[in-house]
Amino acid sequence: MKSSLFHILFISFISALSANAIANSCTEAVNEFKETSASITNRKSVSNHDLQKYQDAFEKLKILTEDEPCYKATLESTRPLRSQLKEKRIETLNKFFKDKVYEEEGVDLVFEYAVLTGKKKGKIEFEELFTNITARNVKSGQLNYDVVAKAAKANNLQVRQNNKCTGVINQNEAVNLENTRNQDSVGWCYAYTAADLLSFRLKKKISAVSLYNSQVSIQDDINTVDGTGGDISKSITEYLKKKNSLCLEEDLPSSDFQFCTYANYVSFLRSLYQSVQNNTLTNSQCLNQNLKAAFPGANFQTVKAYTRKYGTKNLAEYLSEFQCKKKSFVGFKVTPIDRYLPRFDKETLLKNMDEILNKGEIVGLAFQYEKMTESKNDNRREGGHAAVVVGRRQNSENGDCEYLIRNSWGKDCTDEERTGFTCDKKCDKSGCRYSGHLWVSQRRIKNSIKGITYLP
Amino acid sequence: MRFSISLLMILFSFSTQAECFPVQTKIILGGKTEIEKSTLCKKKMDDEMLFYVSESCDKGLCEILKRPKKNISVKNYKDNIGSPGFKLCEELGGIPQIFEFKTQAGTWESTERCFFDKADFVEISLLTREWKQYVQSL
Repeated sequence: MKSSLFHILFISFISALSANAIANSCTEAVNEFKETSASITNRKSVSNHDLQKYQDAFEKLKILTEDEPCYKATLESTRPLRSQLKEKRIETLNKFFKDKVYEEEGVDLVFEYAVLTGKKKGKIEFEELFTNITARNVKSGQLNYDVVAKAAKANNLQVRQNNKCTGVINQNEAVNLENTRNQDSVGWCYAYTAADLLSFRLKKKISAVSLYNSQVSIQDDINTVDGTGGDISKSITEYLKKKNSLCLEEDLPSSDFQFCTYANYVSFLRSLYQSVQNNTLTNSQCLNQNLKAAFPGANFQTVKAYTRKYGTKNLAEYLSEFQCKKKSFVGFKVTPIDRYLPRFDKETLLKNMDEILNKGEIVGLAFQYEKMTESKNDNRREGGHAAVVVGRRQNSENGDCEYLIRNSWGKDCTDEERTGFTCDKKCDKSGCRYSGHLWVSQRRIKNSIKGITYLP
Repeated sequence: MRFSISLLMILFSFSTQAECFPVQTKIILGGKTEIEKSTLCKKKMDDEMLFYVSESCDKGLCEILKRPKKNISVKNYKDNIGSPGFKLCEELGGIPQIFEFKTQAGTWESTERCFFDKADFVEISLLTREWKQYVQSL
């Protein structure tokens, strides 16, 4: 009897402790969110970048509390804060318009204003922050109230499958099914993905090689056998930071691998570094041809003059100054948005991907290849990879929602069919041709996704 | 009679053109774009897939399409670093090349081929298709 009484007391004590712990974790998460919210809404204006920060904080709050009983109440408690944010954003937009600024980081502010003030219906960036709230909006010095309908409930994935797996292929003159890129034998999938994101936005083909060179660790990269890989958004931001411009594919072709020895770009750089280190660099025709291909503005004398002073330290970075024949899009600014696990859950990433595709944009996808393949085949691909998601469709045979992945391995796709992918084909009277794009089911994407990068 | 012969000649020349046709090809070499006149031949498979090969390969004169297939080990074939088809091409003794050709519609189409001799080439996707079951990754 004593023992059961003790048992009951013990269980009650533990339950009270765990309830307390849950309450504490919810309170902590809410407090953290409130802090971020205040730091943003107390500013004079709320920029697009601030909205991104706010969205990140909101996502984090959801992730931290989604399995807790407090989840619903927590989200409810954010309503007034998000209302304040909306007011502040509307005020900011009014200020922008006074200064005749109508675009911010590629976002159409007039449209955003129209949606926020209820004049128009449509999708805007960070829409989630402004839904399910009652907010005042400031218009011509007067306060008006607008009521936004409650958002759809529960299973996001189900909602997407039922309503949003509509067919879409986003392409334009710079990025389309006809012009897949080919990364040859180098590990620059991230640079090719970054180049496609920029090309799509600017409708001009941007050089992938130029973006590879914006990475800070070229020397480390070429010292490894296969390259160290890289980061999609970093390759963009670093390049813009250093050059305040972009390089077109025509001013620095990425498919120029026809050096004297048919060696690729990384092999060439590696041998160049070795020659400098071993003091065997000679003014040969072969070296000059290779230099001309890799760094059109440089020659033997350029290399010699630099290496005499500094050796191989930052040599490739220095030579990259001589690389692009012409600067394009001078002053262009963009800050790519990165969303990666574990900060964002897979559901959120897929949802974001859908939203971006629905807006007519494309998305950089980082994934684990073997998880996407789901094949026991000995030759299945392995390791991290990056590619671009350019479309979506509902498979008419099995009903699966599928995404169109633009790879950077050229037109070749035959080997991928063996590991269970569907290669995109273009057929006419004369026959069918591969486009170098793969249709991959939502399930496989979900299994393998590591994160997404897109341009705001 | 004369009319029938002319018609046959027209039909014959049309069907020949449909197999092999002169094109302009474009490659990047040493930072420069080089445009050349060349010939591409269409190789259509039973499943309607269409690949481009050189005239010599179309006539069955190039070695790579006659080479008996056997297991081949390709270094890092299953790694994601680099295009798998390029690795296979090199392992088979060829030289991969990215090139573009002007289509009959006047647009440029980009693809890849594997050269085995100055004049012998096959599109890399055809090479992968022919050899895929023999490839073993090292």
